[in-house]
Amino acid sequence: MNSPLANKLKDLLDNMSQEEFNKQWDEIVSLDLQGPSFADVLEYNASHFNVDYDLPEEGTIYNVPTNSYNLAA
Amino acid sequence: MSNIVTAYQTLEDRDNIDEIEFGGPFKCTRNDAWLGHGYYFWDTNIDWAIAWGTGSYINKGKKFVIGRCRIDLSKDCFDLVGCVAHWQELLEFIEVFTSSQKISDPKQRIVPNIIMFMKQNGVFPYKSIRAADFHNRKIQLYFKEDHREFMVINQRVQICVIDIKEVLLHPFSVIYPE
Repeated sequence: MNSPLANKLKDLLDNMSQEEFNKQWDEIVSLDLQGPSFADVLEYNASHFNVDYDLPEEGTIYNVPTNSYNLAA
Repeated sequence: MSNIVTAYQTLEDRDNIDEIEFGGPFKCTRNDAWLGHGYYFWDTNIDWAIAWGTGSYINKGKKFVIGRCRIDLSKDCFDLVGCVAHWQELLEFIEVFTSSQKISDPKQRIVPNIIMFMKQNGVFPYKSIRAADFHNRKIQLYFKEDHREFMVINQRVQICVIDIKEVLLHPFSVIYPE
C-alpha cells in the first residue's frame, strides 16, 4: 500500500473491535446512503485503467524525436 | 491552472432569495448524496446546474434558482477527476475495508458509507471531493478513426465540500434566473 491514509485506516480497523465497528457502522447504515458499490468501482477500474491498446503493426516506422532525454512528448 | 473554481449550487425556489444568499450554500443530507453528506456544487459549467434544476424541479412543477460562489481546491481536495493518485487511494481504501472483513452485508459496501466512516474517525482529512459523472448520452471522441481509444468529453464534474469554512470563498449569490 502506498497511501499513508490507507495505512491509517488499516491501523484503525485493525485496532477496532467488531463490536465497536458495528456500533459506528450501524449509525452510518441507518442514513440509507446510496452510491457506487465497491464492486462497481473495482469493475470500472479494471475496465478503464487496465486497457488493451491497439498495437501498431509490425514494422511500423515512428517519427521519434531525436533527443536523448526520453521526453514524454 | 488556477485552483480556485467557480461553483454552482441548484436550489428550489421558494421565493426566499434573501434567505438563500444569507444562509447558503446548503448541505445535502439526502440519501442519494453519493459522496456522503456535504455541500454539493457543479464545477464551473452553469449548464449542468440548469439541467439539474430542470430535471429536479421544473419537471416536478417547481421552480429553482442557482447560487454561485468560488471554491479553493488547493486545500486538501480529494480529486477523483484530476489526480490519478487519489483514484488509486480510493481503491486502497476499498481494499483495506474488504480485507478487514468487518462489513458483513455486501449491500453496505458502498463508497459514501466508507467516506462517512473515515470522516467520523478522523482518517479522511480532505476538505472537498471532486468527482465526475457520466449521463446517459456520453460523447466519445475517438483519437483516430480506426482506433478503439477515446476520451469522453461531456462528463459532468461535481464538488462535494466537506469543510465549508476552509474552502468556500464568499459571497454566495443567486445569479439564476437573471
